[in-house]
Amino acid sequence: MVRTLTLAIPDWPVVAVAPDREPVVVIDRGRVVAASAEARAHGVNVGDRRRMAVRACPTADVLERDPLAEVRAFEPLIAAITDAVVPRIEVDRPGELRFDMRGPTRRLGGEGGVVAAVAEAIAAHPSSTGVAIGVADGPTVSSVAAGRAVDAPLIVPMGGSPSFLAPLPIGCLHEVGLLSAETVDLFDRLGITTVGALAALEPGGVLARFGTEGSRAHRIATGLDDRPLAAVDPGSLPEFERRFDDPLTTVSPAVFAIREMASELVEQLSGSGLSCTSAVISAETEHSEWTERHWYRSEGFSAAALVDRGRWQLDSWAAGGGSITAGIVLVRLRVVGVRADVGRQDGFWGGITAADSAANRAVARLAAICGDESVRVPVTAGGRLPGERCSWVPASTADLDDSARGYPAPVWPGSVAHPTPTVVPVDAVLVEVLDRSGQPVSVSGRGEVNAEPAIVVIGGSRHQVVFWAGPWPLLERWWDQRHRRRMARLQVVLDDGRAHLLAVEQRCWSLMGSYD
Amino acid sequence: MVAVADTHAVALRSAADLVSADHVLPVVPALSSLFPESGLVRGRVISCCGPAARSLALAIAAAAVSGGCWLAIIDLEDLPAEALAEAGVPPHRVVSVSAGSSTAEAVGAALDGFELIIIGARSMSEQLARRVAQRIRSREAVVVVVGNESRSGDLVFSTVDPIWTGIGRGTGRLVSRRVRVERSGRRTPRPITCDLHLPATSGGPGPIEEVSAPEPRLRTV
Repeated sequence: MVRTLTLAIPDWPVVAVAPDREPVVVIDRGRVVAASAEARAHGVNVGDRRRMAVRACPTADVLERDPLAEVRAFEPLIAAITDAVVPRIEVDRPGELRFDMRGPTRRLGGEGGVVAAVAEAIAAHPSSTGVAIGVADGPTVSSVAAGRAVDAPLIVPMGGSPSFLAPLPIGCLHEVGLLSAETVDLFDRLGITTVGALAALEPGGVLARFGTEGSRAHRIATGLDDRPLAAVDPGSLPEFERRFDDPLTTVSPAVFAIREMASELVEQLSGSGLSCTSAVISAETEHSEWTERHWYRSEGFSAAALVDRGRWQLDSWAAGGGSITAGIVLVRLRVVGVRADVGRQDGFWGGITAADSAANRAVARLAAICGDESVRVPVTAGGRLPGERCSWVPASTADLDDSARGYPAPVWPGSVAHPTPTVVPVDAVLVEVLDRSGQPVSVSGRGEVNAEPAIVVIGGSRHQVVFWAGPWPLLERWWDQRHRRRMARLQVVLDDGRAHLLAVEQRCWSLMGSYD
Repeated sequence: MVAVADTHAVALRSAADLVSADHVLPVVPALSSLFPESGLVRGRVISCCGPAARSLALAIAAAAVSGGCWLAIIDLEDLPAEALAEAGVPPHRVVSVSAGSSTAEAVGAALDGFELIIIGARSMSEQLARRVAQRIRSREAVVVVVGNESRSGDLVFSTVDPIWTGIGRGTGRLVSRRVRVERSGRRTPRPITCDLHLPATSGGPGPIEEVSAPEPRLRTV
């Protein structure tokens, strides 16, 4: 069991993007992922819907999550600790890092000395105010300890994990990703509300009833390592390397190289029943500038998760103000820790096909030709206007192997019903809607047209309206002065047989979409 | 190989058909009678034009993408992503590319990795089409050109006379569209005219009633 220090900054998504504003709520896919102290005091909770959060705290700035900014803001803290305390750290996600304390403990005079050195190293950074430090046996318990260290660092003595965890609610194991929300709910309903109650159960029974997930939680609760030792021949751990004859001037081709290596790595390891828990990603420029970082994930890396880490690292390295002066010529991926793969049930027809790998390679090539921003894939989003239920994002930021990606949210109240337009103009196209006497048609506050639409002028050509339907009024974000929208939508079928969706906003008609 | 057309879609008639089954990507049943081989023959260029060109192009791609093919959409930035799933195209195997000035390179790279490509006609000039024709055949991809009013290609589908249902004058809403599809082109044995629901009430394409060549009646023996 390895003594581990975890450093966590609660609500990192807020701290990273808006360190000096209050109150702030950060949203990802319509749900709150982090809230500032003042917003929390008003009753905003993580997991709330956007609407609930705005109702609880109307004065809050609601921001979309920005993963790249979170990574970049975390970079100085990582650098400070690697410079002053320990060279190799494991970054679980932006806002949380941990390292093995054995080396620095000897050097810095005990665990108290290490904690003090960490605090001193990061003291200069403005975002270090809310830092929580936890020290315990193993990464999982130290994460739990960091979550409980409100004002001062919390050091759980060696072998003291069971008595530290016993009074805590079982939900704390969900916070560190050990148990799913459903399992926590199930434990609660079975009357197992504290970690101590779980530890008191008989291990064989827990495994039989709750599977690997429950068994791991039980091992943690009783003070054992979260996984049995797997004897692995260290010489057999794979290592991948890509050299580029033409130095890369942008990060995305390097990220795609990592993507290829990561899929190869995961495939190779899974062939021998292993999954990668920690890996070292390194890159070098033509001028021998070097970045190397150790990444860790207790549940094992999927290829996509590893690519994410690689992108974080390379992006913050390249954006880090003059840290590199030449193109990237080498990217290396080395596995340093593995565990027995407990298995993840793939879909019945699951697995990566030859077509998937070919497409992945072609996407990388296209990104190199046309630019990273020009190669895009659909992801699920939300909205009432055409084209808002899904959006196109750069392929390098999405998980290409995720088979649930890009399906539109099923019901979005207030949107125009099926079918959706197949053309949604990128830039606004102004149109004119006229009645029989040639006067502009308007929509009243009651949502009624003042006259029957008879003529539509699109791009200079006049068309007779054959059929029309609507108007359907829409009032969005009425509570927000800047983003409020009030509009009405109208479907028209013109004399050339084409159908369009038009919208009027502030007496100005525009083309929202066409049914091509 | 992925997306092997099933025997129903290909309508096997001889041993030669069996060998060529791998060269034909499936299409949804409603569209199969539009294709002489009941599916998309690899290495061909298909053109769609007229007022329902995009819906038809997506409907053509739907079954092959569901079967595991990847689809690249080139230079159709104004195609909303939510239209994909509605047309029956699984969005997780679709990539959209804005080629900008490097269309030829982008098409070349896309042909290496994607079995299906939908491209806007303004990017697929006659000159580019000639340049990549050999490449398309050798990579065994299927290219669908949308909005090509010059009507070149191995198969050309012109959509004409769209009739929308469900909408009145101030009542209802757009529900489905009935459209006539005329098939022509270099590789077509005879011109065909079909009526098709695109989209049908349920979303994707609806069944076709063939106008010019009615099916032979069954006779008692």
